[in-house]
Amino acid sequence: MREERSEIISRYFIAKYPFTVEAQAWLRERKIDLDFLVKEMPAVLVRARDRVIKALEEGVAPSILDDPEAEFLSFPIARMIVEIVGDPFLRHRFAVAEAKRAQGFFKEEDVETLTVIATRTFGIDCQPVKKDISGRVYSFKIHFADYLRYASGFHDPYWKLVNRVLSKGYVFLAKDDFTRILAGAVEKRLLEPREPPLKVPSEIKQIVDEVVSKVMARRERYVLEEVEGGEVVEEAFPPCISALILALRKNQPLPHSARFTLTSFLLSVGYSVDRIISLFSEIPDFKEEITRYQVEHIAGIRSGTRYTPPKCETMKTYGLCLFHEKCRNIRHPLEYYRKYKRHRSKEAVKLDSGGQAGEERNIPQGSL
Amino acid sequence: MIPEDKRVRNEIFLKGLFRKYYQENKVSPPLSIEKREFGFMFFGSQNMVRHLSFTNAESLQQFMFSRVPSNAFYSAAYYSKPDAAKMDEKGWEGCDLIFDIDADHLRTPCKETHDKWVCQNCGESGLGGRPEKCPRCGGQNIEERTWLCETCLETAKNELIKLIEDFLMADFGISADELRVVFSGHRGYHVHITSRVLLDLDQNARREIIDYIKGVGIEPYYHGLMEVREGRSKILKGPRVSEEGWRGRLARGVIKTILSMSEESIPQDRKVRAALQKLLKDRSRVVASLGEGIWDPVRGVSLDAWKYVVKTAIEEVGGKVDEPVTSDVRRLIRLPTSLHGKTGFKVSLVKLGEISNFDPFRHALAFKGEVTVHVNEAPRFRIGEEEFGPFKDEDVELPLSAAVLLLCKSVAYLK
Repeated sequence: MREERSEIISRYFIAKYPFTVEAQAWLRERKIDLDFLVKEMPAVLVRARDRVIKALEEGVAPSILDDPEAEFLSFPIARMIVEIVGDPFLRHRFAVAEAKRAQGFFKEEDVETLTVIATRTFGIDCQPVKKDISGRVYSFKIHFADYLRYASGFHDPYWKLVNRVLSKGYVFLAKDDFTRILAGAVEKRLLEPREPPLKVPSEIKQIVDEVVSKVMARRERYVLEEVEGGEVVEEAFPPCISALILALRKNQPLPHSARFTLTSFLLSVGYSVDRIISLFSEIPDFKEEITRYQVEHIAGIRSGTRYTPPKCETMKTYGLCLFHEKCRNIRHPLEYYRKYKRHRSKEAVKLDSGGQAGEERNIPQGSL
Repeated sequence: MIPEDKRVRNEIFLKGLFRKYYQENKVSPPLSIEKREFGFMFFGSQNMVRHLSFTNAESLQQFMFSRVPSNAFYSAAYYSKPDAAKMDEKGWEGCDLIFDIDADHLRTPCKETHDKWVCQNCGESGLGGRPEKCPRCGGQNIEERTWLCETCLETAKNELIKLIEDFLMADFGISADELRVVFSGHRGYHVHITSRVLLDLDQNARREIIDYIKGVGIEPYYHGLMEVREGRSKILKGPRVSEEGWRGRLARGVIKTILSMSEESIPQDRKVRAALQKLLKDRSRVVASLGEGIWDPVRGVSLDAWKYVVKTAIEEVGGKVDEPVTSDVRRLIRLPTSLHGKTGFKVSLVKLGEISNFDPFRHALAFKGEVTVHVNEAPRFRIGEEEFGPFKDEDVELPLSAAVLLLCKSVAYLK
């Protein structure tokens, strides 16, 4: 009776968390043959296709646990499809979607289960605690190195280490924050490329072809979507960016962080890759091939991850911030650009309408 | 300036002394020497020779003795092919966590008396830190002639102790046996951490560590500084002094700031000024209340005024570490127990318990004997028990370590 119960629990466990060491071990023990699976378990194939395509198009692929075994088995198949397609953009979307899916379940889980997943599957150094700091309850402590491995990529100041309680090597986390870290670990794990299998059954090949065509279409749209609309207004560039352009024109050497900032900013406001390359061509050690590779990388053409310029806080760390008067209350170079670009078009409106500043009132204050 | 022929004589003399040092002293090799890249500078050249590697301590020693570099560096990183000529072919495997505290970046008032700059264009010169442009000709090619002084090094040492005790040990939980403390041989200190679990941290993660230590990006709200409704009124709550991490550090820093603040140091901004004057009038009550986590015992002090105090406090209690050294995972750092070519001092390992007694002008000396040199110009300085200078265009007989310092600094030549 007891054993049966634990069997049920573990079937649901592996369906919810197919990336865990426990789930992998289960799969190895069953020695499931790929051909058998494809021929005899069509539900698995349907769900695997669903996992990949939903991840690509909607960014999330929620689980249904009616048939935990099929749900679980669809995961390695879905991952296999992603690896055969071999596109970094797809891999990224899939990893994010799977991480989100898992995080939904993490939230319902008790601290012990979460600790087991964190330590056994991801080797995270953490422990459950009961700590109350000024009325907030912290349920976990996690070694700062593990915290940084995942959270140093989160952009909100909330996640900055300096805004955390750190003591004797450990960061204290509330349960919700811990599940976010754990989801980050899932994402990172699934981003690691794996060798695709040598022999692929035709049923899977079919799905692969479908996914490939969807990826191509989606990717083009994605790259365009992110670009700011309209013409580029150079007068609205923030002082830090203008200074970098000036330095470049004067042939002054720029550190890597400055080049990255400039490139990602210009791409975000709508400069083309070629226009940026021609800007960089003025520096003495210019090599077109290398510059193109780097600019395209930042543009997300190669990896699917499009980089945005660093926020003001990071610019300060880089030593690139000029602490300009006009930057008050601005948190991001792009925010500055949007604000002053709008200012400029407002002024243009005023001029066009012969001094009737009627348009102005229609712009809500909050959007500035 | 030292004439060419005299400079060459100096270099030959220094090279001989360095060679003798490496003949008599074993340099201490870094952990996993075979995975490190080495870089060296040599007498008479400004270039760094990089991408060298050694399979063991003996071959490194042999190199030091036969080639006699003026400065020796190794990579904080571990590589599978440390001698590959291109960075991306080296096979990066990890990197020690390094901290650098350099008097160059600390605000010390004495710099105005011992540091000098000279415009390479028109010859104009002045005291203190280097200006961006020459005030006379507007040229930007300005040479800096820094001096290492006791006050600067003492300030650096205090920052070092703060870094180790307050941050690395208390907050980051680094244990004594994971840290190596090194006097750089010139104007600062390095801390090397070789702990396994930290080796793979990337640039972002290392930058986060630096931001934590410096207090960059702190939002006091996340440490509990906020207005809270209590009944019909609002009160300002904040962290208590006894709390862990930045919470307690903020509270302690704010108290320290309020206690040391004077009427003159208050900013001109009218609103902030009025509020701070109120705070200062009631210092003792404010300090007592802060200890309890209640931040507004005095009426009429706005959140803005508190934010000003907090900002000042962060500057006071934050660590003063140099960012690029820590975040660059491919950087070369000075080899402990080698000699520093700008001073002739030993890049010295300092035991944790001996930091406060460590005296660079006594414990980092590498040479014994005496020699006569002609000194162009040098401020007053100490070597061991003895004080020397200031000198101006004169011949003096000096202990060898003192003379080497002046020769390395290019302010003297051999008689």
